[in-house]
Amino acid sequence: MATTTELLQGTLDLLILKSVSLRPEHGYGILLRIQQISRETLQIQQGSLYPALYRLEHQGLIASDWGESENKRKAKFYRLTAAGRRRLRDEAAYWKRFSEAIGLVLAAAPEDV
Amino acid sequence: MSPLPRLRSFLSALFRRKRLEADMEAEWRAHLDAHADALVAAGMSPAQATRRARMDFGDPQRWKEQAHEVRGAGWVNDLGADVRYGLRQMRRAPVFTATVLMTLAAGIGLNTTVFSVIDAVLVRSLSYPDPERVLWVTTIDRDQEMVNAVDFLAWKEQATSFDGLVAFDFENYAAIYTADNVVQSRVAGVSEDFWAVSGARPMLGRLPLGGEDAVLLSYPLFVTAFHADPGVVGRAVRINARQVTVAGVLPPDFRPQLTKPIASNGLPEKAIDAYRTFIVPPPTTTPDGITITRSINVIGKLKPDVSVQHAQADLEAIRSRTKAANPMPLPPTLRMMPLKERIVGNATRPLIVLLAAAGFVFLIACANVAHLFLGRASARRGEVAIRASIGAGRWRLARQFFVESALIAVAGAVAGLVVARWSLATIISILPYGVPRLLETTLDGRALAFAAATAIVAALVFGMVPVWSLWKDDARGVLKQALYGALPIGGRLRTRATLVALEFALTIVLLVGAGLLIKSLWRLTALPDGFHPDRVVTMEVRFFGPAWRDEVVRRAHVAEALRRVSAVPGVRAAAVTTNAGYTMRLTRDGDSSPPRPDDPTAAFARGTIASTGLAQVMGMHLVRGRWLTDSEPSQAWVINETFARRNFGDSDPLGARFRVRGGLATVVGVVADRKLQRLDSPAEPEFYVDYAHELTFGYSIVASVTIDPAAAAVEVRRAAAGVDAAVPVLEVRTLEAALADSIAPYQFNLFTIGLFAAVALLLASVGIYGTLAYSTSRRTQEIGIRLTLGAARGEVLAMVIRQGMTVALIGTLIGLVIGVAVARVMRDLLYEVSPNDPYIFAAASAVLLLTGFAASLGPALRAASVQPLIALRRE
Repeated sequence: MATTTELLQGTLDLLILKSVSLRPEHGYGILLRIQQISRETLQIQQGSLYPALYRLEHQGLIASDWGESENKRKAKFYRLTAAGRRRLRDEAAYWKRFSEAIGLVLAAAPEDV
Repeated sequence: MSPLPRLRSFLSALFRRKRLEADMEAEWRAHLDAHADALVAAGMSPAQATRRARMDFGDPQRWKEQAHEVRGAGWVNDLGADVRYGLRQMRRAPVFTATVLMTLAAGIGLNTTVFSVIDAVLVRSLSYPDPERVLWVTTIDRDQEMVNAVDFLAWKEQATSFDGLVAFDFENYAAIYTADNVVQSRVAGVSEDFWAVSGARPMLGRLPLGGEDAVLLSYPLFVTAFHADPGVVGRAVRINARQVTVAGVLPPDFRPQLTKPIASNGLPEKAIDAYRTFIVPPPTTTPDGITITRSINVIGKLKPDVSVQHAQADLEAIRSRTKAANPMPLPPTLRMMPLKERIVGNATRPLIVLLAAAGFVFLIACANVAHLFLGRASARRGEVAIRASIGAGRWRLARQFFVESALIAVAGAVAGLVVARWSLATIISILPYGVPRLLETTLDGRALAFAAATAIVAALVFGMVPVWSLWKDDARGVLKQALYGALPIGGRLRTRATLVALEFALTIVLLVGAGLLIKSLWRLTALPDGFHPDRVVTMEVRFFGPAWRDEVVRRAHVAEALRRVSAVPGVRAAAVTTNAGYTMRLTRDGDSSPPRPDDPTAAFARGTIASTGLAQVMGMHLVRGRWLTDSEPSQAWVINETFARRNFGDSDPLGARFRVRGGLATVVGVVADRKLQRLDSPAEPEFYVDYAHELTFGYSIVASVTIDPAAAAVEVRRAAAGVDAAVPVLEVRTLEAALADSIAPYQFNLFTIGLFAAVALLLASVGIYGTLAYSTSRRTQEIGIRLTLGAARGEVLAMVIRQGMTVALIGTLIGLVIGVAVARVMRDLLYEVSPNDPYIFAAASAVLLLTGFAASLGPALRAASVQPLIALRRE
């Protein structure tokens, strides 16, 4: 577990928004995708995904419908709403600027300071 | 992110929790299945996979709670938890809870009662349509309020500012003859405009036609006397001597407030049983040149948008014309005021004093509850510190405390409403006429709202005390102290001592008030030797009909009745008198002309008819001359000392003669002043006249008895009624009961303020007891050390008592200062007692300090009996 990173709350939201932005996805699918995207460095207790999903739904960023999963199971599918799409864009832009800034800081040579 | 979906999701989280949870469970089951499938595919056994999936998922209960919280419904859960926790706390400390509840019930209950009374008496409008336009109209001659029929008829004809002018009068002992009985009833005679002004709508029958002599029955009379038989409408019933048609029956809620002018202290009016047409007669002149007119009471309804001043000017103008055309003197002053003011005016001051007293009790109750809570907050500091250290925020803790106090306050308000209901019912049943309009008082929605508001105030006041005291605590420090059992108490004790001193200060004010009222009542009812109103039976006899028009016939009846009543076993003496008395203008024989109304030497005196036995029955004390006999050759008067002083000064009144109808009256004696008609009025000029020369159409029989008055009353009544079956004998009761009405307002004040003072005394002693018990229990170890080091138990006892009495003394002294200022407000409520009566202040202080001493004794004895070894081992 040495490589496991504590998940910041804002990050989890961003990851959920990102993963349902590709196509509607059920909870387990979102979990798999997050693990896949983060190359398994992010570990969360699986159930804790749900309060996050419900919060985003409560905020109107995602919406859900009951449907059938690939292995013929009844499952709830989440999709991005228009508001969610805007939020994802804003958040992604923010993270991009933030990581660029961090990158710049870390890349700075002693003579630049 | 519009707010609407959020609200929907919040509401469904609140109210459709079950469905949401089922939904979540279904979703999670799918998740677990999918995960287990994946694990099986990776080579695990199905059983292992299921277990592993569960482990990876975590505790579903926790996610459920979080899910609830993210939908914004978390605080509702928390509140539920707080309420459950609070209820558990209440159950776990039953003595604490019961003490707080009883204290609050007393505080809230008494305040709600007073609120209801004040609301009914002072705030609510009279039950007239457009009540603010209904005026009391009167003319005043000296202290007497009365309207001359001459005035009324002129106003009725000429006034332009009124929509209606009503002349009315009461007959308090009217006899209504039903098929099977004679019912004594109170009948109001009302002139034609009354029906429009009062907005009466009969529930049966109709209103009287113009000029018709008809009667409308009140609903209670209709039920009790006529057995609610609708057939009575349209029939003629006999009222006194006349047959009158029953035009209709008034609905149960028809209770227009009418009042008669009464002297300073205003007795409230009793319920009216029937309303009868009253036609105001024009003045008539007797053959010997004396003009006779009726005196009446008047209310008027102003036209819309007409001011009282304008109406006053209107009537004044009419009066000046009437005076010019009429030789008869009319009362000099015209006065009008809103009827409500006239009815409740005298009750305002006592009720405001009462409200202040109730407010004091409420403050004391709050102070008591506050220090009960404070004590418990100290005891719970450890618990609070633990909760704080595992993450409960200050707001969370504050809310917890507030919920607890709110729960108790709500329970206290409910108990308070029970107390209010009981105390209101008690007051109304024992003193229905203590305050005007008291019978209209009910516990209604407004009273409920008031009780709720007091509960909220109370909860805020005492709920905040522990929160405030905990606010400054630093969790770790308190935890440590709590674990080692050494909590700093100095500062807190000072707060508590201050609260107790405050309670004592407020209590002494109430005690002084109650003491002043007790002394007033005692002064009022202090009776001369040999006079025992509880052993005097009184009853009313009325003559109705033409058969009694001849005075000789009436006199014969009275003489016979007296003879029979005197012969009843157990009757010591019997006499004839008049209950109401009559007031007449005095004219000395030899005065050239009758005194003019504006002549300050003109005087009124109240006449009472008397037979020989009256002096003995009533225990009257003869000062000069002789008492009346039953066979005076001409009209004889015995006057009282006030009469003698006013009209004769230092000269001898015996033998003086006054002009009366049909001749002259001679003064034969002087008696000491008495308060027989109304206990609370100062002595008025009075004279007693022998019944043989002045007999009205009704009289009272009074008989002093040596046996049980109730048993004697039956016999006396039978003897009096036996003279002539057609003459009704009414209102049989003891003189004590008859006099009680006039002291009812004093008794009301005493009962309520006395009750409040008693409750305050109890609360204050609970307060000082609680504080001392708390501080001695905290000091057990210190006391143990003192005892080990050789302190005598007596010293410990004295130490604790000194501690209690210091607080009590400081509170009492502060209270006495407040009391001196406040007692002045009570001046109008007192009778022959100075508001600064030093004996009362001393007595109240003694009572309070003794109570404080008694309350300190328990904790002091407990402290003195501490076993040093056990106390020290607790360390």
